[in-house]
Amino acid sequence: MSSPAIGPAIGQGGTRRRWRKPSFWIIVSLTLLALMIVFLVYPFSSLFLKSFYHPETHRLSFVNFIDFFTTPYYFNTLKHSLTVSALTTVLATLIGVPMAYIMTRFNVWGKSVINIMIVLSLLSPPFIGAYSWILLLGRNGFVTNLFEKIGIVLPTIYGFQGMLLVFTLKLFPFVYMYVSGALSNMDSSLEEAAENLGMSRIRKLLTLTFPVIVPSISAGAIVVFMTSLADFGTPLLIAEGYKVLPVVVYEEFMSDIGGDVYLASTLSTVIVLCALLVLFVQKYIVSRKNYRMSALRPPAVQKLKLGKRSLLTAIAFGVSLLAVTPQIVVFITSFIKTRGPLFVSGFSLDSYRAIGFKLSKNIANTFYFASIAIVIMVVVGLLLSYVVVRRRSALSSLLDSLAMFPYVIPGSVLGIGLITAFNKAPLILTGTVTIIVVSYVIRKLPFILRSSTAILYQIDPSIEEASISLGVPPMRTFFKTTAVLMLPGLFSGAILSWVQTINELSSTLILFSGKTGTISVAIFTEIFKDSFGTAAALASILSVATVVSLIIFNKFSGGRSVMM
Amino acid sequence: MSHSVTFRNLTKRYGDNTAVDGIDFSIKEGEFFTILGPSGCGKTTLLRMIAGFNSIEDGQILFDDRVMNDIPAYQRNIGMVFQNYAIFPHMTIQKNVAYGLKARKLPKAEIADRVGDMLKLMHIEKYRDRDPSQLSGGQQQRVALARALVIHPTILLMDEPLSNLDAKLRIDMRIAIKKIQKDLNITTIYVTHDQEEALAMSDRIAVMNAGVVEQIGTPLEIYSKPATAFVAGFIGTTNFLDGTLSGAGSSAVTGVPGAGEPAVVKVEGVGTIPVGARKTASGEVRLAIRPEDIHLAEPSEGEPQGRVTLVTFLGDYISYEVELGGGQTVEVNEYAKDTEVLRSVGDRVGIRFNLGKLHLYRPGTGEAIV
Repeated sequence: MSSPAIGPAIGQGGTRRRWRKPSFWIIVSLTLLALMIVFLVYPFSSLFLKSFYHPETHRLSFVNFIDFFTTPYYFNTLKHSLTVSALTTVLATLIGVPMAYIMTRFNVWGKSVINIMIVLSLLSPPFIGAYSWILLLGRNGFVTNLFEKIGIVLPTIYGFQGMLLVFTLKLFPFVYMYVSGALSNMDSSLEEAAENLGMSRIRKLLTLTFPVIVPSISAGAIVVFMTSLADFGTPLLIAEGYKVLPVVVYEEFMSDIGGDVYLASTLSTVIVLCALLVLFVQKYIVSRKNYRMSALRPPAVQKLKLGKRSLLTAIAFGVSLLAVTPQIVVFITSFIKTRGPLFVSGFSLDSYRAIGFKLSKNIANTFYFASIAIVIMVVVGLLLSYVVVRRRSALSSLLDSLAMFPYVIPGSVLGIGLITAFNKAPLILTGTVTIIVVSYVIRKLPFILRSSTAILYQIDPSIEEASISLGVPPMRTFFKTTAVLMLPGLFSGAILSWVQTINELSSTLILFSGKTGTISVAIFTEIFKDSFGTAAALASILSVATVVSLIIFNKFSGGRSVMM
Repeated sequence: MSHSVTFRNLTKRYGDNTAVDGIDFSIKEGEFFTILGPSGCGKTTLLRMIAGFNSIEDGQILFDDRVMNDIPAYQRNIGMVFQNYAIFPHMTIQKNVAYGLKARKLPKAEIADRVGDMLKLMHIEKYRDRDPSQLSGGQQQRVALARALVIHPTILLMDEPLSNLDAKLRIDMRIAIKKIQKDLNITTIYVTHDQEEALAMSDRIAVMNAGVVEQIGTPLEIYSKPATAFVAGFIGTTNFLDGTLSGAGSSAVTGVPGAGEPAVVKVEGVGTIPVGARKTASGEVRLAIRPEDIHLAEPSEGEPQGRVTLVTFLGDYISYEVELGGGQTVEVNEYAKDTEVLRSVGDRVGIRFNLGKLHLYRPGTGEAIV
């Protein structure tokens, strides 16, 4: 037999059956599964199960749900939550879709400035929006006082209308981003074909353009709905008497720990069920109508005459200015001189000095926690997406569904779930850095997984086969080829997660202890202490950090869109 | 240096679907062997089983006399060229080619020598420090081939390697690949759906359909003596006519032609076509004949006739579509240089079959009637 050297790794194998050690990916899958069971399945199944137990007899019972639906105080919170979220979604869509159409199809002036304003408005957590609008339109607000001087009493911003205002202005950019992406990916030949077939402009819009972007509208709308349903920083600041679910969950849980955990978990279950229901409806819509498009020739930008052009520019500019107002207000406020809780005239750096004095720990924490979280996210994203995409099995689809589940868990519920699970033996994590990092990773898991699978789908599987056939074993092949190819994309995806993580409030507010406070927690507590100056300075630092992160992102992604 | 490859009753199932069904043949050392078939016939599955990327449900693959079933892909020492080349996009050309040698932990100097020689052989040495994205399709193809050959593989596998190239380049690369293969005398298994490519390059061809091998033979054998109706239809162009086989003088009731009697095929609306002495068969048959084996003549009594319905001038030959009686049509090719009369649409013509080139198949199974 003329057998040449078949590589150094080959022994006398082939005829002899050897003991096969479990493959690398089996070990990875099982490790990920174990981690998910400990940090995801265990806390949340016990939280949700609690809602089915009688608080006193500890027997299976629907008494908590019966209480919830028959006590007007609690049941009304559900109505409030759904009303605000639904109306916010409608308004955000009504603003976001036309904005996207105007910006992609007409020659308005200053497009890049408008786009920058919209991106900036997305950067801060919603509660900062609430806080800024209070500074302007609240009881002692700047604008309120201005109008009072000329004898006009503005309607109150507190309660339902305030939430609607804050959420709509904060969240319509999501719809805008999704829809403008879809509109600019629509090949111009599609609309030309419609015109060629004799469609009038309006009917073309209704019969072609609109149906084609429906999936993107629904993708943006679902983000709006989920965010407004889950957010509780905003209602805590601005809703006052108009109680919504996340606020009541927080209050029930915080008022006396361990006291009405049963009710808190019932409320949590209700929120998650609402979110799930809405998500399924959206998925159903999208699954029936989804079009993949990539424009060879982007749609033509219509040249308008001076009059119409000015009008559309004014509209686009006005809307994006409103959206970015909180950022501007916060930034200016941070430089205003303060005396205690009062602003006095003149500018100074006092607020920043105050932070340096007592809150520098929070700043360090924010970046420290987010850095650890991001490293874990990249590793998990790399391995989990590979298992899900390239090693399909019952186990990998289980991992996939588990990882996606936190998408419907509001931050506050996530915090409560973790804290009730890990405040007792065998694993006590309350007050630690670990529990905060865990909450960040879990919250971002759905996004990490989606973005990393998207990257993986673009990498040709035969790249790995080529490496294997050249004599490199599968595991080493993965690290030498696919992993290296995924990293840039993963990293730019992770920067977006980083941006959201440094801005995270809901779960951190429940999980933090004296030593583990972050910037967003500090902003929140400062607002409640009426230290508006320091709060504004902290918020500005957060915004600057976010902008810097996004600049890095753009370097890595080569100008790819900011949306995941 | 090279190895033979033997398949013993090789089978691959995906659930209820059998992709490769009991393949059983050998490929000789140093042979250029093509697996030819339509998409979904199991040819790529078979190739990936040889490479070690697909599991084997039943049967064996042997390299020489060594069973390869349980040898992992990375230990098989196979050179593989992928349909989309699978060049590592994050490495330069030189690093791509050196990859397999580094995996074998060869000394640096030897790697540099072998990579240099291979780049020279493939005429890509000037691109050695470029990124793959800067190369054209044909150049990437050469890199893929260089990377597969530099490890001195025992077998070279190629999966539709030319399908992404334009027509002109494809023909250049056919010649280049064939020359290098003969120079290195490496056993090569080549998968394609392009019958012209298979005929042009191969020492032998296996025609696959629905997971089974329909015929193995040299390009000439496959073309001139297709073993099944499928092969006749897949390789080149073939006219099929359905008819009834009978002995000229035999009983119309039994239809069994007497031994030694000249048999004929009766085609509805066309007439009887003598098919020479056939011993065993009778009843329904499919008659196959290639366009160049039919000749047009002036119509005469007692001979099949038809009407020209389409004339296509293709430079070196003219292709006619002729409608026969009974609604059947045939394609007829005549070399332009041999053509005396150029027919036009509507002309009535006589049809003459080159009787030596007629093939008969059973209508259901498609197997040849000897």
